[in-house]
Amino acid sequence: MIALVIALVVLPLVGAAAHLLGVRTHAAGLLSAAGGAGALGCALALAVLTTRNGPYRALSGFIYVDPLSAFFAITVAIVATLAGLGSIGYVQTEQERGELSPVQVKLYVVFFALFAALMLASLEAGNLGLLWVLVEASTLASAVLVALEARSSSFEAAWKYIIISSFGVTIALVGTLFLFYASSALALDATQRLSWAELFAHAHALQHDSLKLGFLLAVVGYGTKVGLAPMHTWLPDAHSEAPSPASAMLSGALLNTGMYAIIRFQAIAGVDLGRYTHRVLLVFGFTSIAIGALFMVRSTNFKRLFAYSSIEHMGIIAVALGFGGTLGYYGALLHTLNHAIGKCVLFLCSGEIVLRYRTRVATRVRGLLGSAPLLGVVLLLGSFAIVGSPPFGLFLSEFTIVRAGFASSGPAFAFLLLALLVLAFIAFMRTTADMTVGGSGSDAPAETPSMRVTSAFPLLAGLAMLLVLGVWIPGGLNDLIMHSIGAIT
Amino acid sequence: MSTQDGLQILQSAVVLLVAPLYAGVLARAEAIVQSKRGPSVLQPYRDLAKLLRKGSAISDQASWIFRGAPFVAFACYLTVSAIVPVITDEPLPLAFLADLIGGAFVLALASFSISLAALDCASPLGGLGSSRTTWIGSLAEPALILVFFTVGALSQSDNPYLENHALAHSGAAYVLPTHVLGAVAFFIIVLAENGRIPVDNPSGTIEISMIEESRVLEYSGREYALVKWGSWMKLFLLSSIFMNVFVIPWGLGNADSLLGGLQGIAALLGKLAVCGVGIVIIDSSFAKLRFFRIAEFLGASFLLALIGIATSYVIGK
Amino acid sequence: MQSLSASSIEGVLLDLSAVMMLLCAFACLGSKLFDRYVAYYALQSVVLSFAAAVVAIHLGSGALWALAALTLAVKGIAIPLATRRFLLHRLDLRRDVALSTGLSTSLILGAFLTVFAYLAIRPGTLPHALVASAVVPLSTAVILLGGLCMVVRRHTIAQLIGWLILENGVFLGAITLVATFPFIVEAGIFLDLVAAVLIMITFVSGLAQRLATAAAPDLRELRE
Repeated sequence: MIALVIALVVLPLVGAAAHLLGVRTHAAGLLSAAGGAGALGCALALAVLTTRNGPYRALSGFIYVDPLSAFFAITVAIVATLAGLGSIGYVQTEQERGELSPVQVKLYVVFFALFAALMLASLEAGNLGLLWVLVEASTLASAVLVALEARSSSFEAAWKYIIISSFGVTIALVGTLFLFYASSALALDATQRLSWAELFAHAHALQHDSLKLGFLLAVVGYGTKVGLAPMHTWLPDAHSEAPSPASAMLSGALLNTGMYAIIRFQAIAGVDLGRYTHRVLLVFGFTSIAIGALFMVRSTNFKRLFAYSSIEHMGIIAVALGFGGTLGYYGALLHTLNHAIGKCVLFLCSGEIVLRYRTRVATRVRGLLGSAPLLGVVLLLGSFAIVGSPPFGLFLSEFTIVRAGFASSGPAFAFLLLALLVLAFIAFMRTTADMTVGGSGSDAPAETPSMRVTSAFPLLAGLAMLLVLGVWIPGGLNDLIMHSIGAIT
Repeated sequence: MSTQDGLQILQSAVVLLVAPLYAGVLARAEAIVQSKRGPSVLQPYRDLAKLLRKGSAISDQASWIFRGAPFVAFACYLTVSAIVPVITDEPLPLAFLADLIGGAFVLALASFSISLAALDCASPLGGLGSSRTTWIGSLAEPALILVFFTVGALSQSDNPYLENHALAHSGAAYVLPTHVLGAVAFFIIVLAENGRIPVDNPSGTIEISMIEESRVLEYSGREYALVKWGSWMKLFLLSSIFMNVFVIPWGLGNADSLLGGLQGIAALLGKLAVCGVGIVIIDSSFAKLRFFRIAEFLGASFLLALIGIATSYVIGK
Repeated sequence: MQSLSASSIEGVLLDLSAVMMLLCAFACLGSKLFDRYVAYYALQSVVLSFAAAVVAIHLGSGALWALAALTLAVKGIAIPLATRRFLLHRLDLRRDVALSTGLSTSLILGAFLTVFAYLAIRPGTLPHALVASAVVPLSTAVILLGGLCMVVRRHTIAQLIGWLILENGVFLGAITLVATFPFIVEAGIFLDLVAAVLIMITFVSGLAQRLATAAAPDLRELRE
């Protein structure tokens, strides 16, 4: 068991270590992706073991793996694998064009691996203090990726990202502090008082006022990382400036890690203060959906468009958590997985488009279906998937969430959610449909490099997974999600 | 005449007689720090003796206000010398006259009379000086009132003696944030009220940039002697309040015996030496502020006292 | 763990250090020179490590002693030195002109925030404070002032210092409210802090080389 826990963190680092030892970029990239796939295997194994044997604890609670951690680890590992594969082509093309120096490539490989490993590690941390440390560390690693291309605009985005996230995460630390304080009446030693399992077990005995404050501060703090409005301002900049595979990691993995921390806090606070936590999450969730959808309307940069869509989807997940109940949690977790894969595909696709057209402005990309049929198809289908049309997985999860809304809070919230989803649909498709099938005003790309296998594979694999999840939820996944819900309620 | 009456007279005499020495020592010390020889520490006494012997020239435009102001101011300082703790730890017979706020009013009256006199003889520099002094005073006053509130927060009174007792008897009260902030705020006011650097340069010679000194440019002879003497007494009084009430509340003499009074004088001289070192350090390490930055300097004092009071509310003490 | 009241000497020393830290934050807010920002931050960190030492004496805790030493070494010495050496001197920065409000305005705002913190978190609202409850409102005020510093100053270095001040406030609250986190966590927090500062320094110099100034108002490329 402990071997799996360690392997999950170490495997993604293998490629980077090999690269530092002199292995060439291409091979190191493949090794990185293989490491990601290995981590995915570990995560799956952990999922099987924890659903069968219950949570695993080690090192006096510093390591704690339950089905929920395994579920999120699977999500992150999938994204890391796909993005790792996508990086190979992206980095190589950029290097051949002289956009990236060898040092930058080295930085990219190392910090990409570090970023993935730290996120996976934070999912295994059972101590809320350690969770904070690892989340902050993953922020720092990803900030380097955002600044990698060293334009003034990428430094600007990275600066905004790091200063706002650090601010937010510091607030989350205050939240953790208050949670720790809330437990001061318990007869536990300091280490146990930060251990999630202990806190969850003794949640009834926690002092309510400090718990409330702690939860609110944690939502604001980790919500900054998740990109919940109004703490989302760093997100579009960072996502649009980072190299596209790194954007895929930010959107598909990092945001989920933040959400994971919020879920952990909600589990503790929800025992006695269920309605309060629901209200808080509903407010932030709906604000984020509205802001995300409204800004999507006026986005002209397609990477920013995807970023605002991430804000919207994080809002949907928060709303699902706010609806609560088994149905709500089920929808939230399923949506996390679906969104991660879908957004990963879209950002990787945007990376290929940027490589071809050398622009991020949506109006300068036209008729993609004609000039690059594969990319066009992926972009179109990916867009349909991300806005929640059947038969893709996001349709199923959004449908579950709306049902949860009807079941728990009455029709008003559910209809509000539906209205906002429609707005998001229009705003998103308006841009991407023009990019794929729109004809006029097209700047045909100067060169049309043939697509690499390593770049095409993750796109198709991701779409395939979304399609499968849209029509059939495997029994194992269903088990895992149900056990995850069991672990936090 | 009881012992207490004797001490009362002794206290005022000390203020009257030692104040010029204090000013002289400060001037000499400053000169030495700046690698100059400087005047003798007895120079203020020589100045006084010379000025008192001389007749005074008074403008024929000046009214009785100009003639009377130095006496009013001098009387004010003498009054204050009777009511604040200078050498004894218990109130002397005349201390009932005023509390801290009353003392501040008497000092303000002195400054006001000098300002009037400066306006009275219609010299442009006098007008300039009194307008500047009034402006600074109007900024210092609210801060000073807040400092008194910090004192009140600590001793539940505005009596300097009670504040002194509260501090002297409890080490904890001495390091209480309220007190520390109040003390620093008061020191800033002491600097501003006495026209020391960084508010005003006491040894400045350029009329246009003078503040305190330009008010009294028209005086000469006996009246000038009184004005100078008064301002030295003011520095002496504020310094000893600062030391006895805020910084070193110990060592004041017993109010029931003359011996106690003498011991108090000895302690006072030591404390003033400490205060003098502080003033000299500030005088020689800072530059005079631009005039309009003085507001920020005094604003700092205001802010310190305000935070002090708010903190006392939080701490509950 | 018994609590410290305002009348015991340790409690008063803690209160005093908290007030000193608040004053450092105000001094930062009221100054315009980059050198001063860094100096006040360093002073604040030294006071913080003193406060940690006071709590360490009170509780007889070795971990807190280590924390005090770490604070002094990292926040009091290393970070100020690095900032001065790698940013202020190398980029030749002296006077901060990227203020969005005047000094007096920001000081007044700061005073309001302090009063707000005092009113919002009275010691009475915390039922069983472990160390000195009066410090909690003060540390909240320091946190708010750090945030204010980040808001009213638009230069990246000022924002960095503001964040560090905020972090100091959190630490002050931590050592007084809960005495100690597990040491591994504390050490991890420190490691993150150091890494964050190093990365931020790199970003600021990167920005400064490309934009000639690193003031946030010039960061307007990414507006829609």
